[in-house]
Amino acid sequence: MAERIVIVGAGAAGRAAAALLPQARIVARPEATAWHAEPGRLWILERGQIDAVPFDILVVAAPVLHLLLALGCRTRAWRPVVDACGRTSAADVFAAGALVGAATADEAARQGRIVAQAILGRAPEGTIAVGAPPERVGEDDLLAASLGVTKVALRDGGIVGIATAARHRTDAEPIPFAPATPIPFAALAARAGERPPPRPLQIDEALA
Amino acid sequence: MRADAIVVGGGLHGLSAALQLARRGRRVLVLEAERIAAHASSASAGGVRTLGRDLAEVPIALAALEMWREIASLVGDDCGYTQSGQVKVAETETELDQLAARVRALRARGWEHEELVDRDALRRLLPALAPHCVGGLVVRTDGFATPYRTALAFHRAAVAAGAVVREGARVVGLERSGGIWHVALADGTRATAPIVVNAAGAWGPRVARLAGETIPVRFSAFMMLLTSPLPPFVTPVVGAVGRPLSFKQLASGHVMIGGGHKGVADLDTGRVVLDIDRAAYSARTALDLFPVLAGCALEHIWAGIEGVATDDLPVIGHGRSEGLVHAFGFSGHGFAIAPAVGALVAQLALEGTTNLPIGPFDPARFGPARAGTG
Ligand SMILES: Cc1cc2nc3c(=O)[nH]c(=O)nc-3n(C[C@H](O)[C@H](O)[C@H](O)COP(=O)(O)OP(=O)(O)OC[C@H]3O[C@@H](n4cnc5c(N)ncnc54)[C@H](O)[C@@H]3O)c2cc1C
Repeated sequence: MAERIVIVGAGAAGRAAAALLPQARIVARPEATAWHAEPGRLWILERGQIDAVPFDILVVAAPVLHLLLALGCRTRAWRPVVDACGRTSAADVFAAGALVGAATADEAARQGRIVAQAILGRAPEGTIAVGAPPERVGEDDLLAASLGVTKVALRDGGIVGIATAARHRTDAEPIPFAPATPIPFAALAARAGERPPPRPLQIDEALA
Repeated sequence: MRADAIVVGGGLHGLSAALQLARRGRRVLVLEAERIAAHASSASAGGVRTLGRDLAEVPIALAALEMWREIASLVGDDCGYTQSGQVKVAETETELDQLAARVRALRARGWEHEELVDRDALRRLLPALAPHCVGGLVVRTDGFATPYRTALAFHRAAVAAGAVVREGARVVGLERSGGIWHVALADGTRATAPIVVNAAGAWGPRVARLAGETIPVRFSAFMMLLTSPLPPFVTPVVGAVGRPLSFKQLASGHVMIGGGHKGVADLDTGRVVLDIDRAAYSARTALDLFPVLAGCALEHIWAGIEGVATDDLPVIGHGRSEGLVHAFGFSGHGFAIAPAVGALVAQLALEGTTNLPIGPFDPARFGPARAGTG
């Protein structure tokens, strides 16, 4: 298979998926941290360096809802919205394990296998159902965790605006901004090359 | 509901216009497609800057600054407004010459608010600045505020003045008959008023099109970076002549970095995709100017969608259709002037003229352009 499959997380779900998808690249802590994603590219921090990992299929098997939010995947009650084989609202993005609400390692592994089988085009052995919403430690804790930011940054860091606007959107709608989690500032700066040309202004095709 | 004026868009500009119209005794209905300040007005950096404004915007920026200094008397909340000053840094002698020319151009028009400072004075203002910087331009009375808090304050004040604000109310049709606008909403309901204010931000051209008008304003997803908290090291908001940068430290110690690098926006979904390589360049610029950032963490990156005109000026003025006032496309610097623009919009809507010059912002200035050219 020519597809580039990337699995985020090496817990029970990630390992079970990887067992069936030996060609997949695994991005897992502590070696590598997935901190942001955009369609077709996962952004990681590995050995102090920032890198983009291209993917055709992404399996998110770690508790990192912000990656799915950044990809525009639908969520409901702090869980991704997935179909019976773990596919999110983005066709090339799957989710499994604790993020989806799996309560035990066995259940997480079962979900990881189902996702892998679906990716391989095999009939999945069973179905995935989204678990109960995470325990409400407090909206701000959930929001901070889901966006991958600290609570202080949420409260005092000026992102409270977008976060609140996001929180007030209907649950099932993707939030209108793309979150990213903490990384060393200097690591991002080190990635900068030549000064990029300014992006041209975007034109509204709908009015053309 | 039969209103005297309908404002399309519940961002800061729509709310500011609504407040001013309501204070003038008009029944105002604000229709916001999503939530109050769902887009540019919450993603904003909140810089209140007269410094470096296009000359056409200076009168409005100065009027707005007067309002910011008394913002609690306008909206009942200080909006987190801090008079920190703003500084534009020159990294080379050539850049410093450009700043000197700028000051001469302002003085020739009688404006004294921008002040040229040499290397030593710059160092006193910005002790943490990298030593290669040769001078700068300063407005000591500029500052910044907290964007979302500001939008909520304008919202509360507008409602207290009698405005009705509806969220989840997307305008999908505008039709004028019998001297009245018939406004159709996505949920099938309707509203009518003799006046419509188009304050739909990046979607302003779409709303204009509903009324049959073509205003070729573009859009962008402006990116912002936020660091982990650091001990206080900089007071003013800092920009640079030669590189896109806007840099400030909040009271919480977080540093907010923006100033121009862009991601990709989608008007249909309202979503953005970050451009990490360009964000990296912003980080590089900030680190070059403030080496103290070397050890901090990047806590967050985000982007907000803003309407941008090809001449970088907002669209403020009457539409071709009777009873239509446009106020959108603030091109990345509309937060600072929002208090004053609301008053201008109210004047336009009710009196037809304004007490400050707005000719350069004429919605018709792009010519009878076809969409997609301009
Ligand atoms: C990242 C960023 C940083 C910035 N930093 C600064 C700064 O430091 N200083 C400064 O002065 N300016 C800054 N700006 C610019 C400033 O924030 C904007 O100019 C200002 O917020 C624009 O307000 P608005 O009300 O026109 O637009 P918005 O806040 O975008 O509001 C428009 C509203 O219209 C609604 N809408 C759209 N279509 C419809 C419809 N059909 N029916 C009903 N509602 C509709 C949208 O949902 C939206 O809520 C920044 C902008 C960004 C994005």
